[in-house]
Amino acid sequence: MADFEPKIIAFCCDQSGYPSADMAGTLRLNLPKNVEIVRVPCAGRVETLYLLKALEKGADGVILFACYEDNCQYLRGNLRAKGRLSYVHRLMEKIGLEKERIEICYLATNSGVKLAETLQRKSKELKRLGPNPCVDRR
Amino acid sequence: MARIGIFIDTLKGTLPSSFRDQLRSTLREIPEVAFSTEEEELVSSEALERMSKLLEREKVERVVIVGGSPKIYETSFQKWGLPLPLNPYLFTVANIREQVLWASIDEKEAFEKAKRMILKAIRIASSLKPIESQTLPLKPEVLILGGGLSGLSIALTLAKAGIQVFLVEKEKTLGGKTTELWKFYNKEVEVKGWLEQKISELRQNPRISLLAPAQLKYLRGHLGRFQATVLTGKGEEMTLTPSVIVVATGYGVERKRGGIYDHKRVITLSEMEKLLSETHPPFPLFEGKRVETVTFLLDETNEDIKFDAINAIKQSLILQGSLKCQVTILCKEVKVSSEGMERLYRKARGLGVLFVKYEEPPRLSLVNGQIQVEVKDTSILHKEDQWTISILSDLVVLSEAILPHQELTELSALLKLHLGKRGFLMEDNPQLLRVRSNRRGIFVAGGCRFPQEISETLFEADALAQEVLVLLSKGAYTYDLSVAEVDPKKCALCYTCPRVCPHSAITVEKYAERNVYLTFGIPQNTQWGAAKVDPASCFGCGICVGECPARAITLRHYPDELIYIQMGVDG
Repeated sequence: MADFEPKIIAFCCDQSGYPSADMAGTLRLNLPKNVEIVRVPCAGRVETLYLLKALEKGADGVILFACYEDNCQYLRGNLRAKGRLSYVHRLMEKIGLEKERIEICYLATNSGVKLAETLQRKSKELKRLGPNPCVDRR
Repeated sequence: MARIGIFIDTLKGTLPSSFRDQLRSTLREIPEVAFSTEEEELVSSEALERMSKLLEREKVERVVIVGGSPKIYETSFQKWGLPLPLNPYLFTVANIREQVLWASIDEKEAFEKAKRMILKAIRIASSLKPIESQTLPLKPEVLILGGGLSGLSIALTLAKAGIQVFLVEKEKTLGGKTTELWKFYNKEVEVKGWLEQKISELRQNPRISLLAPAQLKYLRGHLGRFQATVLTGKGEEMTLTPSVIVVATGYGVERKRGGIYDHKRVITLSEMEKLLSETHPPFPLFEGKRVETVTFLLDETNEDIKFDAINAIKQSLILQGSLKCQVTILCKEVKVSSEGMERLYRKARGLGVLFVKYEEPPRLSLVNGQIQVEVKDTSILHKEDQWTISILSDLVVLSEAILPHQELTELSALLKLHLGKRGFLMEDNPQLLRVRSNRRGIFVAGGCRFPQEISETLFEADALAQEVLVLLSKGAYTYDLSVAEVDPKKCALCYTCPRVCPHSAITVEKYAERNVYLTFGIPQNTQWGAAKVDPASCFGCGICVGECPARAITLRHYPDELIYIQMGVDG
């Protein structure tokens, strides 16, 4: 299990998450190897289904990068995302999946360091949790 | 299969040449790729020109840019214009620089990741659909709610630019809270005459129809197609069809009551203003007796609104200067951030006005017909030297609590605008878009957004008028159809999307086609309602798309498959 490199899908809101990911690159910060960055117009665009589908189809963890509360360009997108996330957590509890696998993280446009740190921490956490049991690896 | 052109942006050599050679040899094996070419700096105008020519010659249908962050290309397209003849939504960018080269991965892995990202970008590019733009004609008609100072100034500016203005005021008189002022703090002019001149100018202007007293009863529609029902004073209902609505309804005030605060010698700033306007030198009279000492008590409620301090200093200069009174101003902070106020504050200090900084609320009591104010002066740094002082004064002047207007909640529900935490109308962005509201086509200014000093109100009114003119000057509003779209056949009419839409762009409309969810046992020709997104008002955030239980809404420029491809998952 030593060479297990968890796959993380990071949904990045176009206003804060994506510029932060760019900034993390500009600052030459270490990102975990297996990260897929998904650009979305607003965190509110991320459906419950996407979060679940990500876990179903091979991701070990999902992070949703949204703007801080009251900071959303579309006023309430981040709150909607937060609501959907708690719904997903309830569903995951029911099927016995660790709810730490899906997480929301609030960023500003210039939070490159925070983004990199969050991804690193998440990667470590997921290494401890082990591979996602939902995925059929045969 | 769409022909895809690939532009590799070397970003002034940031993409190493060995890397590029490897990339090009890989790209040659992909059948969709029509050509791949390299550019030194794709964001420059010359490179974009070359790009346009190449696109025309090769007749490609989609373009993939391999280079840096998509944001830099988007800004350069906005700056230099798009490389025609392609639709602006048929581009996609593989962000190799930020996400691969700079993310410190070793060389072999970097190439694998870059390859994966480019393949993804090619898949995205072939799934893209062109998005056309639309034009909405706007007739030059504006409805302004509120005939206060901001409403008046906006109406005058817009009417001068040739726009038909309807001004709806609740009261019979115009001017709002400004009528309570006697003098400006920075000009030796009386407010009344200045305001009356503005009002008479407004009444004479043929482009302004004044509806006072009148009230907005109902509002339907979106930008360019508003339908406002206005109830006039005579009880008649009028329907106006303005393109744009301006809300400038002002604020409300509340005076502190109870106990000593009900005493006749405790007055408010506006009562003091009236008293001063009626006073003849050498000294002020209150109920026939000479007033010698006056204490201002500020900042008990609204601490962030500065015009109380401005008015108090303006009045204290008159009282202390020409009327020979002793004035004390009790406040938490002296707010002198307006233009010229620092000078007036120094002048007041020079004349002998006392400023006392307090933290605990001062105690008021009645002593021999005068009001005694006991307050702990915290302007001294050492705590042991802070004494409680008591000031006997003939008059105590209070600042009124400034609150949102009582009817503002009702109005915001009517117009579907958001309220901030303190109950005032919320601007779209406090720093950048101060006069826009959450709905496109509705603007907010004046005291209903945030109570301000006269000169600031005038600035804001100008800013708002400019925003409206920018919108109306072309006679039409052009927008891309990169918006949400409801499939009426799937809509189950659950009213989720009108509720969640932050910009109130979704309404329920009648469709001629039948709704498959509701047709069971019902004649086929019946009209059915379904949600409809107004494309001119939609900002394209996709909140409704994520929320729709029937998955009836799609975001045209961000469909499901685009996100699935990015996730590396097949839908």
